[in-house]
Amino acid sequence: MAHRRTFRSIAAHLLAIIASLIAIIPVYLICVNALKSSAQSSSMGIEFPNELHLENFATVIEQGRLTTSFLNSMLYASSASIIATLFAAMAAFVLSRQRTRFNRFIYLFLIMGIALPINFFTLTKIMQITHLINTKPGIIILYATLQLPFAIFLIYGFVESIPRELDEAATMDGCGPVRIFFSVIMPLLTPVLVTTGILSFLNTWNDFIMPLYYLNSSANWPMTLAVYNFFGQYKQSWNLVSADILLTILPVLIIYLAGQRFILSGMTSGAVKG
Amino acid sequence: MSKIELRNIRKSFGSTEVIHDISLSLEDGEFTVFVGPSGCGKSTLLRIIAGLEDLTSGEVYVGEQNVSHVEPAKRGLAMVFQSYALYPHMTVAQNLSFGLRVARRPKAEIAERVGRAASVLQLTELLSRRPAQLSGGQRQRVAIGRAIVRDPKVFLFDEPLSNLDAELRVQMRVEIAKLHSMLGNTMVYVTHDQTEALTLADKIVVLRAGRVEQVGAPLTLYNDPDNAFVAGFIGSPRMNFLTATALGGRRFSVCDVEVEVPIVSSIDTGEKVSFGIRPEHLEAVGGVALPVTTDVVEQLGSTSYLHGKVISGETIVAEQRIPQTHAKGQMTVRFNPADVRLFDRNEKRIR
Repeated sequence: MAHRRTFRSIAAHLLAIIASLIAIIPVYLICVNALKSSAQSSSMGIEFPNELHLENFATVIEQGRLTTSFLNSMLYASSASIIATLFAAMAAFVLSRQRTRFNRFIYLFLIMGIALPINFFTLTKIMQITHLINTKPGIIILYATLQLPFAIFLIYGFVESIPRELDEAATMDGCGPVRIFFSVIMPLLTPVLVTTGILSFLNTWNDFIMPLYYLNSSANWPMTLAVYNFFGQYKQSWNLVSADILLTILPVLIIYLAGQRFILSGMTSGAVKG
Repeated sequence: MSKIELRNIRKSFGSTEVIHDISLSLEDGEFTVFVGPSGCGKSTLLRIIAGLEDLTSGEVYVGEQNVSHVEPAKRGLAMVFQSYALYPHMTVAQNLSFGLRVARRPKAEIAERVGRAASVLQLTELLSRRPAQLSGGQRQRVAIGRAIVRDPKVFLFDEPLSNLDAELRVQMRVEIAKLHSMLGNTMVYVTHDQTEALTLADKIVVLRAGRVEQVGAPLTLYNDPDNAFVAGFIGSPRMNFLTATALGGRRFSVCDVEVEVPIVSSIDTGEKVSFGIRPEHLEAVGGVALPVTTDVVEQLGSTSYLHGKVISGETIVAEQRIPQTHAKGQMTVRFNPADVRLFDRNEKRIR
């Protein structure tokens, strides 16, 4: 028995180490290659750089117009996550408090959005019809919409945990539904709203596909797309591509580390009741 | 004037009717308690008065005004909830002033009213705390304070003491009684605890399954119940019910003992009736003797409760002032026939 248990624990550790390596290797490759010369990085090898080329970062920021795309990314990610979180909270409040059969259907319909794939053909059509294609507001609305299903799912369970008597007390105090939401419910939802906000921000920041399809002008590109500046124009400048990717990851890493505590607490505390 | 009048109130949830045609009049300044077992509709009735629950049919009047379709906040009522329902993210001061701030009262007036309510309820030192930092009794006082601040015509209490421990409950019960005598407002109070009902009420409304069983002053319900349900519900420990047979006239046979009960009506010979006698009326001396086999004796210091069985096998509880030394066995308890309440097969009182 004891032998079997040690074997199992070794196997489990081994598996965890392999999984961690798989996750860490790309990051390691990016890190070392970002510091190499163009020639040395052409093979994307795992060896350390012969000499440190810290100027790669300056080159990338300058030639890749990274300041613009950084600001674009910030704009898209922050406005989309704020819009998604606010609308999701309002929807979750109504859907959770008014449990009619119709609302139950609406909830399940919205939640399906987590699982169902995006149909790019119809989406393109709709973006064209609404004249949102190739515009900044268009991509913001698109991102906010994409984040809604998961955001509603997260917040819905959390609204449950707020006693209805609070709504009733606020009603007796003279609040209408809107005032109840903003003065009583929303402050109490803060933990899950922070979680939802951070997750939406990270998802939007990391996305590559939507701007690729729906933003033609490179002036509107977010950081993830800016990497294209180093294909073609500088053929196989893997060192610059790596440096660009590293700079793109950095804000995500900072936000994730800073918000880690909220992400976990918000995901678990609302999840008890579903 | 702030009397409350309920006219032909009906309430259905889907196809199930939970309130069946209730009409009541609660006088100005009166402390009325709705009491009954869980699911009897007492909270629903209170919530209908508050406006938190829509009426299926009927009318609610506060003073002279028909408020049946008036918004809850505009009915001039304040409500204290079972779970206190304090806003967790606000301080005590913010909790107290929230209603006034929603109504956009001037700042000076808000400060003055909050200060007055806080001093009445001894909350002045707690004003900057949040509900989580308060004890149960303090939270209860804040909940009451939130009601006082609004200066309502009528106070509604929905089982406000049921979350407190036994000792604090007694203390808060006294505080609520003091508050009523100080403010003199009309108050409506819902509870399932008959002790709270007896001690607080000017008028008790006993409800069962969405119907009013009896309305009256506490001692009226205790001494002169209309039916077996009210007799059993009011008074603790509850009234003993034994099966008795009519022997003609006013004479009855209960557990092979013949008793003459002072009633006005006459019952057919051989008819079965329910013979109700309160534990506190089963004494050691005087009156008619009833043999009892005791199983358990509970000593409470000032009194003791004997739990036992009579000859017919029905259980009986007797409260005795004289300390009982013997624990189990045969004994007799004695009662005065004037203390007996008789009920017919439909639980109606036979007077």
